[in-house]
Amino acid sequence: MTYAAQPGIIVTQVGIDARAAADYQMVFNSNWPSLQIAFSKNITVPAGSQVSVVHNLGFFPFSMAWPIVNGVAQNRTNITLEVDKTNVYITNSFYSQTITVSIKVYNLDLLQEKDYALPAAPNFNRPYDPNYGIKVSKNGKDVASKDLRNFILHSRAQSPAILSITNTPKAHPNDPIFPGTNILYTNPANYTPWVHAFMETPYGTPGTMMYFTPSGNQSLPAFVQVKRTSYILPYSAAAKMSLVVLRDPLVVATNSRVVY
Amino acid sequence: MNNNGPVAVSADGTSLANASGKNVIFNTKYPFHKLDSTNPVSFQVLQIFLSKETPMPVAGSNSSTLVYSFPHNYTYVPSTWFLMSLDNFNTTLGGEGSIISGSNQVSTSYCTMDVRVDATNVNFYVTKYYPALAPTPPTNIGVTIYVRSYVFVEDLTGTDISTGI
Repeated sequence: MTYAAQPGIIVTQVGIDARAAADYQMVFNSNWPSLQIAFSKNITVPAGSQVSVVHNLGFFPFSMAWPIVNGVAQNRTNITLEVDKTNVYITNSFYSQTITVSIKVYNLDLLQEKDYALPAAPNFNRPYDPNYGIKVSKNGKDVASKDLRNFILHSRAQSPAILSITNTPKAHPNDPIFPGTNILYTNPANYTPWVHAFMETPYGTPGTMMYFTPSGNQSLPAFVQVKRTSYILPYSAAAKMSLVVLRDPLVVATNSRVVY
Repeated sequence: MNNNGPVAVSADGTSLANASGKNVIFNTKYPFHKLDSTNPVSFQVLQIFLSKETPMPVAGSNSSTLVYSFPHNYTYVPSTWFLMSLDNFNTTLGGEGSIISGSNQVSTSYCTMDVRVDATNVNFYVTKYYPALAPTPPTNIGVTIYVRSYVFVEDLTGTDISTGI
């Protein structure tokens, strides 16, 4: 997609004409639907307890939470994360002690469906040029700061961007793996996307949507990832559910193989 | 008066002065969750091959062994995401804490891939669970874990949102 089709703010790599640049030649594009942090807080959660935190965004927000024990971040799956229109709920049923949990709530409505085109990815990374780009510092922070945390946006960095949000299960009678009524999304890119699911469950906090990572389908609701296709298998057609699919940043990943 | 942050873009044909909701297609009201393109570990695809068994716990207990670690290049604990697979993402297991061998049925032994992030390194552990009634011990030799890893700029202090915005 080129400049002519995208009103907004576009910053390209050095030497690239912004009016004709391909997506991977851009260091920033205000049309990229990226993740913005709307609410952030650390809480303490005693063992065997649930703690709620008010976010007051007025919608079910895409959220993440990290358990922290003795200053070390642990598996995110060791805690249960649920959200509704007002609160985030964290349940600590894994640890036998009080833990700190760091919460980030994003400005992304889980129940507002979206679908964006996949931009072309780069084959190599161009060197960064600090003399070109865009940066907006946070209130009270120095725009010359070297700490990227002090910026709302900085074209040296990219955020995971949204490809799709799907809420509505549909009939897929001919699907070879999970025929039936479910949410199904196949990534147009030739890689497994970052997918997250939030689902209303019969065992969760009433009225909330619980966070899931891909796993098996031994019980419903289930969230399963097979190759490039993501499935939400609901326990009830009336339950709230959201499949959030994010694309990689437009940089080439570092690939490493290590042997233990 | 809207509250879109210092930089904002309105939809085609819409005055920013009066725009809100869907008519504001971009704003800097909130900070982006950022991956630093100049930090080579911001975005990685890792293969961790377990060529030997990690130490075995005593039956009825569990134990964790560090199998791989890399510096994240920050001086604080950064926020991170991990996605894991055993077959190069033909099937995705899930995030950190996923079972990498065996199963978690009662009295059956199994291993998980646990990730712990401190102020210097991202650390990958194999944790072996060996229930007292398990017929066989947990085993991890020959397993390859594929990991897609994001290490973000943002820390876990809960202070991403500055005042005044």
